[in-house]
Amino acid sequence: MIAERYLPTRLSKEKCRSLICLVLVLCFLDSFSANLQINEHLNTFLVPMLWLGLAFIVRSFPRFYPKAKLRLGNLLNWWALSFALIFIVVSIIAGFLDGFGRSPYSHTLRGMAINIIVVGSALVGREMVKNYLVRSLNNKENYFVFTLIALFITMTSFTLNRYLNLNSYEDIVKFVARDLGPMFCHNLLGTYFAFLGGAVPAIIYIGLVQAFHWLSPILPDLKWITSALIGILCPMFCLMTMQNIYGTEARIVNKRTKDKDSPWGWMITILVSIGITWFAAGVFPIYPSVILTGSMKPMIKPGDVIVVKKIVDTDLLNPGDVIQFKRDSIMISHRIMQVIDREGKKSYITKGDNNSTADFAPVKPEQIRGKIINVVPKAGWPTLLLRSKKDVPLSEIEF
Amino acid sequence: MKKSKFLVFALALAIMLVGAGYAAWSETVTITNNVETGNLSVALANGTVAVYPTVSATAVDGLTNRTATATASTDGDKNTATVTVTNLYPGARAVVDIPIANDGTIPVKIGASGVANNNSNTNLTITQTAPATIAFEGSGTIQCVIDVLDTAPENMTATFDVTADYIQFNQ
Repeated sequence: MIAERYLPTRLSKEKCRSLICLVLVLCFLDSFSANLQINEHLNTFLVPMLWLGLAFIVRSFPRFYPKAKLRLGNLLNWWALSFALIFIVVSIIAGFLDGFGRSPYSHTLRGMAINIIVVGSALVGREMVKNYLVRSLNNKENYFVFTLIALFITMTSFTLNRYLNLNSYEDIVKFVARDLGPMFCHNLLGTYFAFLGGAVPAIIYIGLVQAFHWLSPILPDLKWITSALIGILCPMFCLMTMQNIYGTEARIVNKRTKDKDSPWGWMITILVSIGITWFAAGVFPIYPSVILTGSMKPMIKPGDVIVVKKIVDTDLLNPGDVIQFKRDSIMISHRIMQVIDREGKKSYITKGDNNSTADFAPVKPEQIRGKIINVVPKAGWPTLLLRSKKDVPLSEIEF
Repeated sequence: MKKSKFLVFALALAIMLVGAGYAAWSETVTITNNVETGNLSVALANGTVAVYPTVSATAVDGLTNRTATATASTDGDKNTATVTVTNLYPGARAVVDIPIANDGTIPVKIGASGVANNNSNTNLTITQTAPATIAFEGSGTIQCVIDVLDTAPENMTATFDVTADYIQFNQ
């Protein structure tokens, strides 16, 4: 009879369930620790102590060996460090476009020490739990399990108040795009690191990303869409790259398969697809729009695509500029004939070049979407064919 | 690599859709507002001069061979009034009243330096008062009391300025 300590570690569903319950309890405690009113210092350090206790409990469990070969341990740690630095650098580069802001966190020695203890303990506790779950729940590279584990860790990283304060559809989308999505992607990459190399590379990766966020005196002040793009794509591209690197180093994939499955092609394809979609949707300062009527002939004909530049300051508009404005639910592109200034309030008299008279109502600044800077002939014919002529009341536009 | 592709594509698709939401929710329009500040201005008007034979007299001395004028400036910002009094005598008191009006758009109050005069002639004593505040479209009177001392010689000429410093009401 072989002694139990020489047998391979077996999955223990009870341990997994216990860990999941303990994480949920700690998440609940974290949400309401401010209300406990035990003692100022104890309030601050109660939950971190519990996280460290949980980490010690997991440490005492029979361990599963990482999936990757032992010789690749250092490689995984170095790549975890590199990917974290890549994410930080990409965030800083985006900060040069969107701007920087002062960090809201304390940067006194005491403040930073408290933040390191509070954030670090939760990080270590979560990564130890994640590492145990990912190795005990599956033995192969199963992304369904990875997704579930990453999702669980992500959802429990936010307090209940954070979820309860989502009041509108817009709030929910912004929260998912800016906070939940990027954290999920970081956790997914961390889960993959935990699967391959144990808790250490996962802690290195997520720890360095969190360290920059909590300790840097200046942080990129990114728009929520930029945070979503970088926070989601960067870890995912790093995941694809790590798969490729590990596959090559562990000699799982041969050169022919590796070239065929190169992540660079997929990254470029994804980026270009997102760029085209966002350009068409109007995310960027310039966007396209298909012209359906002939009110601006001969400059713009039906089926042409106009390139519109978003206008922030309507004071820069002058008579002669061709603008796009919204009236009711219709987007109209006409030329400014006159700027009227009544009691400090501006409005614009517009007219289509092919119309006999000016538009019946002056255009207010808040109606203006942008100024037309270019016309691409015939590029919108497919849209013309797809769109029914009944959609646009021509009497509003052509007369 | 193949196993994670579906996940990556799903996330990329989500980002594309989020972009449509961003475009719809982040239309920024700047509407130019005109903010104009008011102007601070006070104006003096022509005043009156009354000469009393003693400091305690309540009736003027009635002398007719005298020049006693308080004339506000007609050019510039009307912040200067020239007072001329002749044929005073020791013990006499000349009371000069000059109306002051707020012709700006901001209420004013007397500044830290208050109302002052630069008289250096020891044969005269000058006291002056001015309204502590003048409301928008309000008015008041700056009064200057000139007492000629008994030591004043004949044919003496004294020249001095009385200044009142007004600032905006909330400073």
